[in-house]
Amino acid sequence: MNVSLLSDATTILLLATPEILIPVILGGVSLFLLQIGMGQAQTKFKLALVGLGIVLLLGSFAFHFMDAAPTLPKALQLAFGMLSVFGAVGLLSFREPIHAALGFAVAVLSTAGIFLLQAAPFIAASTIIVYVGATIIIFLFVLMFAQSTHPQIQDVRLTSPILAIFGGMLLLLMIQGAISTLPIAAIPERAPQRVVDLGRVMYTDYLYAVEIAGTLLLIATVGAISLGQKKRVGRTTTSASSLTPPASQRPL
Amino acid sequence: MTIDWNFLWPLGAAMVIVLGFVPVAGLYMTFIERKLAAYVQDRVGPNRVGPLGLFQSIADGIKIFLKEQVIPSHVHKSVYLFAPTIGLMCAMLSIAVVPYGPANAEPGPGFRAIIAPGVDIGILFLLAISSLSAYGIILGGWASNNKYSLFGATRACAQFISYEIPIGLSLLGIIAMTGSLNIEKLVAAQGDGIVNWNFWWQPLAALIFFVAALAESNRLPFDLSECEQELVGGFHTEYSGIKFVLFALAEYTHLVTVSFLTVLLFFGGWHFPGLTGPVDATVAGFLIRWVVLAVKVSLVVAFIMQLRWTLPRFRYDQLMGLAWKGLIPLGILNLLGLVIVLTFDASRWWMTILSVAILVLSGMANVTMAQKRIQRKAASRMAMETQYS
Repeated sequence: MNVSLLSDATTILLLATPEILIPVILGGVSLFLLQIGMGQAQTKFKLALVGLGIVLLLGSFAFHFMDAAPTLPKALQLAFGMLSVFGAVGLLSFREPIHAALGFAVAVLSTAGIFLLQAAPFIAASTIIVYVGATIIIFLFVLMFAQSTHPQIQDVRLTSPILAIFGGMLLLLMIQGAISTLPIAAIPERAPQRVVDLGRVMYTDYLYAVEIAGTLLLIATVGAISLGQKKRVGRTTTSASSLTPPASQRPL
Repeated sequence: MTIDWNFLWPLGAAMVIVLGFVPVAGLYMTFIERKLAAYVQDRVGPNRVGPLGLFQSIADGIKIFLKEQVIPSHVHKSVYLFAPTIGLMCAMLSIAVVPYGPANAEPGPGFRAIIAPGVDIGILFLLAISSLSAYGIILGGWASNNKYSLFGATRACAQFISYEIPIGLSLLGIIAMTGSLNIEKLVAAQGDGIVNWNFWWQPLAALIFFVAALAESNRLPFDLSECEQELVGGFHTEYSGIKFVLFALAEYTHLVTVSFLTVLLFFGGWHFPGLTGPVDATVAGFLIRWVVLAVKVSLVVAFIMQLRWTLPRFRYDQLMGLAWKGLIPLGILNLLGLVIVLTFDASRWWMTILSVAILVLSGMANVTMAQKRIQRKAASRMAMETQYS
């Protein structure tokens, strides 16, 4: 692509068609309602409104995809997309931490579903293993011990709601513009030997990237272990091992 | 949209068989387990209902459905009701890629004894779903709003996360040698005779897989999350009636899946001396292979049940130590041996020698270290006594 970033941005801004603007404005309304919902007690009605806004937003996306006859993969893709957005909204707006974590799980699982539809089963499976399997379980593990009956006021009070709404709207505008200008890859009909191909590409063309990522993870692991260890020096113990006299007192 | 019935009827039949088989199998596994327990403990076991007590499970099933639905007042109701369903759903989902009868690796028309044939990521799918199966337990334990349930759930959490790693490590060898993640292909690669069974050249991996999979399916000696002596009943303390049975059913489904996987991945699946090569189209050949597979799986199930009544439950630190200090290092060493064999393009029988050598040497090192530790402790106690006396 020979177009610079700036002209890309101006192209997106020039694409102010109703098709793009309506979802952006609806998204802004959703964000507004979401923030009110987070600030006050009665959330259910407002959450429903947020959901409605997002359904309308996705409906506009659906027009992009549904230009031809509706097929099962397209319907599934739409359903997965909606589910993932609902999950994300749930993650942000549920009071109970465990419900929020479940919302995130739903979002990630439906993203994996979209990967599956794009004939990328390996990515789908590894997304589930890494995010839903490991990350959220650790997350839940922590949450179970941090049960609080009332949410902290810092968590629900917003410092600058107007800025957040406009920032969110700008982000939506950019995503919408990008989606409507960039070519969307077609869903491959059938992809045999995908995992083998992926492995070959990863360990030939992208060998350095894979190795560097692996090294980084190793360093992170070593760092986590060394940070997590308690300092041995100066530790006061009352355990059975303290019965052993210190080295200076022991006979040689 | 046209519906291709030639494609759909085998799929529907495979699903109906699994959905029908799993609950009945769950009920009868309880019966078999009780009979085996009675045999081990020199009792008779259930023998009142029907011939040999065979209708006991059916009576139990009817009783479960007719029981009063008790929902304690202090639980988080929605999650509390949702959790057993999630548990069973994940357990059933993992069967989708496991061939429960003979199925050729090459795609073809007609009935095949697997719900999702030819899944390119078979084993990875299994690992993904088994990592989800902790959700049922965790949510159930949390939603019960009860300290003991929560303890059980957190134990299950740590256990699931820890034992996923040795499972992955133990399966890498077979995957690397066969060059596929597809379970049907992994079975077909063992089809040329009994010497081709993966167990012979990956004995250590088979051991690691079996132990870790047992821990993942929450069976004794690894059922720390439902440890009666410490936790009343564990994560399902607040559950009763059909909600409790869904948890139990999920556990038995895991047990069946683990047994199937052990047989399919390490003991040649439906192959047997004299019964080699791809599955032939005749009904008799199909049925004989099915019987062979069923017998092998039943043997593994019986072995797991005997383990329950033979071994005492681990202590919690022993459980974690077994995963992190025992199975994971062994798995990594096994993988290292495999890498050496693959790099030098050597015969895979070197793997057998290496596996046995790794197991024996690590065992010897462990014993030596334990002896040294005991000697050091004794010496320091002696020194203390001489000093203070």
